[in-house]
Amino acid sequence: MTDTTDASSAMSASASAPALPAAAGPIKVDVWSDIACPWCYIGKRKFEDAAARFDGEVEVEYHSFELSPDTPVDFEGDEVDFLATHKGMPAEQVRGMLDHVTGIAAEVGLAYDFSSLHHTNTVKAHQLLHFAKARGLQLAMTERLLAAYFVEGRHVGRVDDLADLAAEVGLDHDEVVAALESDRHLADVRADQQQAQAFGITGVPFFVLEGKYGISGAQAPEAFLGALQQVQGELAATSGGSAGAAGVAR
Amino acid sequence: MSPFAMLGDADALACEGDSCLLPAAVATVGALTPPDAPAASVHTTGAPVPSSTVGAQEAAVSR
Repeated sequence: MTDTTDASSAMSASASAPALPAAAGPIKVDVWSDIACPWCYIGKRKFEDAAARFDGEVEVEYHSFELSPDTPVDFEGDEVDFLATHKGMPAEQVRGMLDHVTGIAAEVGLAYDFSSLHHTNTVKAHQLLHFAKARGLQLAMTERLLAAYFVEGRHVGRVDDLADLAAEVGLDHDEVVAALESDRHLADVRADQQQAQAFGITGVPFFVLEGKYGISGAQAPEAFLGALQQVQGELAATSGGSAGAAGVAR
Repeated sequence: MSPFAMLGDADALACEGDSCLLPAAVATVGALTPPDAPAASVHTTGAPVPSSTVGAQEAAVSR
């Protein structure tokens, strides 16, 4: 699975229907996702499972989607506190529900730790993903942020914390701080959100294959694989050859 | 209205708005346990997919 992370994205250029590829090649997958989205991380794993089994090349690009843009950067308390306070649920009920989600995550190898999770606003994290995309590191940064948020209890809303995480994937700490403090990529985040709106995307994760097919949610790997194979077949029929037969690159 | 032909299971786990984690009702919490790969079928028409085989997991959770 390759990282489509240069500054120019065909998907972000226009809200009009994306063009189909002219010839066989890597299957382009655009993913709308939020860091603070448990199903996005689970879906990412399931998609990666499918991509690893897929006999072809997949090119992935992530796009910004804020599920809860009014969330403050600093929320004092853990997930149970947040849900119990803001949703009026009994703490025991919240804990039981979180245990279920944690169990689903564990099935795909993710050790969610809601007791250490820091609720926060993710708009800066999305800006960081655009910063990373411009440097070919968007997939690594996405994985780092999701793990930091759901597994490690790291804060993903504050500039300094984000810069520390960025440095861990090879980005320049000070450059990241400057970019985030100046909101250099805020317009890119907004463009992704506007495109999601134009496409009628209301939930995440949302996967778009070759600008033509939509897949909503954390699907079973078999569903992702079937979709990839279908698109591959269509591309092969269109081009008269085999789409992306060079193998899987992750 | 999505311009895409939808593939996969229409009821797969997803977050919509601030609805990710909380169960819509206590009784539906059990539905969070994933089914045995009900989503293998591919749908190309965008037609609604029956949710009965999946347990309507998206609807069962909210945050």
